[in-house]
Amino acid sequence: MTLALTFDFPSAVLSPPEPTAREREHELVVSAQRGDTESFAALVRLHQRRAYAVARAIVLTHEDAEDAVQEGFLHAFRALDRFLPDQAFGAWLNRIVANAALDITRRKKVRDADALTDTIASPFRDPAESAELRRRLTVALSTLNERQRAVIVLHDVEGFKHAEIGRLLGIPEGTARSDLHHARARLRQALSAVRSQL
Amino acid sequence: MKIERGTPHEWGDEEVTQLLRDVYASPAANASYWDTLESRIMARIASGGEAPEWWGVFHGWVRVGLAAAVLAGVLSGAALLREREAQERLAYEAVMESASVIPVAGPTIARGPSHSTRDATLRSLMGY
Repeated sequence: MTLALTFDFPSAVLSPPEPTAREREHELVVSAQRGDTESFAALVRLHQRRAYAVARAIVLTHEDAEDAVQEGFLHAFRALDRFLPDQAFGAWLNRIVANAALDITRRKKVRDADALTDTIASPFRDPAESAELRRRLTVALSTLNERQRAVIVLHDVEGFKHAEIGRLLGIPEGTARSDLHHARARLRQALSAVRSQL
Repeated sequence: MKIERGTPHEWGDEEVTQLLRDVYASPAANASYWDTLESRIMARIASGGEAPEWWGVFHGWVRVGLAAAVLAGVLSGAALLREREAQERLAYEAVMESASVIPVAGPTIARGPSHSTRDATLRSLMGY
């Protein structure tokens, strides 16, 4: 009986365990640091969606978010030899992307709400209400400073925690909480005047 | 979300969050968008960070163009050289031919009367 049991499960005992996502990422990072661009491309595939979300939370347009993502990955590739593989690659990358996005925002400083209206599009059930809500939200978002806007989008849309947002944007966790509170209040206030009928 | 005309609607955090999520929705759910973005990122890295510009399409032709220009220069130089040599040879031959028919005194006289019209003309010109 014992022999049979031993014989029944040799593959489960002898086969190496499947690498976890973290281990797989670690292998890719080490390989990329040795100059394997295919491994870096695999890292891009793994992280580009999150990187885009981080960038999009900070900049005002889809195009700027794409630019920030490309800039971020380029900076990461160049700085790859300074990255310690035991760290979380995603967190390191997202900080770089966030900085790239902040640089773009500082360069552009777009405050024109009309320009924003064209770039922020959203499907709502009622076109008239949709347009008004979009306009109000656009105006409200444009009145937030770039840090508040990034905080509320990163928290409410992307689900980052306050501490993660703090690390991403280089601000204390308490500041992130405060920014979130003020941003929400301002958006609520701006949207509260919207009147419509359903 | 019921909003009545004429009545300010009090927005809750959940509603604001939902609105933000709608507005900041990911640009594309299909994989092709992300494949394209990945390709652009890797192309940017491969080019050393240079943003692709419209004149970038000529980069691949620079070496070919330079080689063609060098080849054209060599060929035209060789052609010019051959042309110049040919001209010099013709000039030399012309001079030598002219020198052989110039009726300088001795040999022509010694040769005696010539039957050629050319010699007659030359003799006439020289007051022979």
